[in-house]
This record gives sequence, C-alpha cells and structure tokens, in this order.
Amino acid sequence: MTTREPSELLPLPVAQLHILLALADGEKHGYAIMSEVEAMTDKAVTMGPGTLYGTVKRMLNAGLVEETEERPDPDLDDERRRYYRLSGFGARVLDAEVARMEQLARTAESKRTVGTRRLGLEGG
Amino acid sequence: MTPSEKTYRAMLVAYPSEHRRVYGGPMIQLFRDRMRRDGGGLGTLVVWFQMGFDLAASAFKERMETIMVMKNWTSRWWETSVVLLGVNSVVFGFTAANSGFVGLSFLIGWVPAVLLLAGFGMRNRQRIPATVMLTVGSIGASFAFWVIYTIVLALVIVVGGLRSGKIGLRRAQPELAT
Repeated sequence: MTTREPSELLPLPVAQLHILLALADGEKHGYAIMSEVEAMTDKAVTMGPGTLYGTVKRMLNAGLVEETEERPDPDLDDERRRYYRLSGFGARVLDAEVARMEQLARTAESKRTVGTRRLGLEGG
Repeated sequence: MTPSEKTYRAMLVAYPSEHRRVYGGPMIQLFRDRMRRDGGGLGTLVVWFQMGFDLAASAFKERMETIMVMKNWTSRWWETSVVLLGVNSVVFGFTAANSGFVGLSFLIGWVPAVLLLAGFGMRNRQRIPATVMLTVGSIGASFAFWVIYTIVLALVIVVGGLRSGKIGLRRAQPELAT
C-alpha cells in the first residue's frame, strides 16, 4: 500500500503522463502503449523502446503502474508480452496531474485575455 | 532474426547489464513491432534514426542513474569505513599503550583516531580541514594496520614457526611412540 501523497510526484514528466493516460482505459503491453501515445498526440510523440521501458521501470518503482501476467496479444502474433496497468496510486496521481493542468490552463487563459487586452489586440 | 534486429540487440550493450537483463527482451520485441509497422525502404531509415536517438538518450540516462545509485552505495560504505578505522585506531592505541609502546600508541593509534573521528564529525561543516584530517588520519591508521600488523604477523609466522618446529630447513622427525 502506497502511503505517499500524489502531489509529491507532481508535476509528472511528460513521458510518465503519456503512459498513465495510455493505461487509463485498461492494461496494455509496450507496443500498445507506444501506439496509444502516438494516437493521443497525433504522432507528435513517438516513444522508442529505451524511453518507454526506462520510464516504465521508474513508474514501477514509484508504484504508479503494475505488471500483470505475461501473455501473447491475439491481435499481433504469438509472442508473449508483458502487460502493464495503472495502480490505484497511479490513478490518483493521474487525477491530480490532470487537475493541476486544468488549473494551469485556466490561469493561462485568464492571463492571455489580460495580455491581449493590454496589447490592444482584442477582436483581431 | 533480421539483420536490423541483430544490430539493435548488439547495440543494447550501451545499457547497464541489469536494465538489459530485465528489459532487453521487451525492447527488442518493440523494435521488431516498429520495424514490422514502419520498416521497408525509406521507412527503415526513419525507424533507425528514431531508434538510434532513443537508444543514445535513454542509455545515457540509465547509465547516469546507475552511477548515482553506486554513489549512494559508496557513500554509505565510506562513512562505515571511516568510523570503523577510527574505532580500530582507538583499540590499537589502548593495545600499544598497555604493551609499553606509548609513543607508538600516540603516533599511529590515538592521533589518527582523533583525526579520523574529528574529520568525520566536521565533514559537512568545514570541508577542507575535514579532508586534511581524514587523509592524515587514514595514513596513520593504515600504517598501524597494514605495516605494523603485517610485520607482527610475519614475525609470528616465521619466528614462531621456527621456534615451535612447525617450519624449518630440516625434515620433520617422526614422533616416537611412547
């Protein structure tokens, strides 16, 4: 049982946030995580094996994700693959990070409005 | 296994061995998946470019983390070693003084012990004096342990062995039955 507060890990590194989001709708193996991250970011982010598994290792150590049973993916081939899923703590950290980003977006929006008004650019 | 996979597998040597042991297999699998999806012609070059960059950046990061872990480990052993050497020097000081070697007990017993323990205590506050104390103390204590003890042990082995007849240049006589 992880007793740490989610706020201790915030802000999350971008790679960890992407992996948490990829696992938010269920367990996935490495290739599925990579494909999901590409789809989420419109191919702006492509994770290589080194970045992906290095990040997964750190997330396992931090208790953000858990490894589930190794098995083949019926949609791909008969190779056995390691699957990962979000832990309870990981889900709480993801919620906290998303809330932090929403707050940041609201702040940025209000500042943008003020800044635009100050520069006399409002209304184009 | 394709030549690309073989090359990628060989390049994994850039990672620390523990990381390679745990994640080497899945990394090769992911490389294979990427090649299957995007490889072929120019695609192979693009994948290789991305993989090369990914490998260089992540291997460097993993190596640095391993070094940091080793640094913590070294730090723990460093502190333990200083304390042990200091305590051993105190013991040596007592032993030498009780044996009548008062000068020696100070030179390579008490003084190194005080320097080591004081340097250890000051290490976070006054770095330079602490470094000097620890270095001089270590040299003195090392002299006691590695020179004096070595000479004493060598003397015990040679002189004691000769006197007790356990060693010698003559053949050992068989013991007579009484």
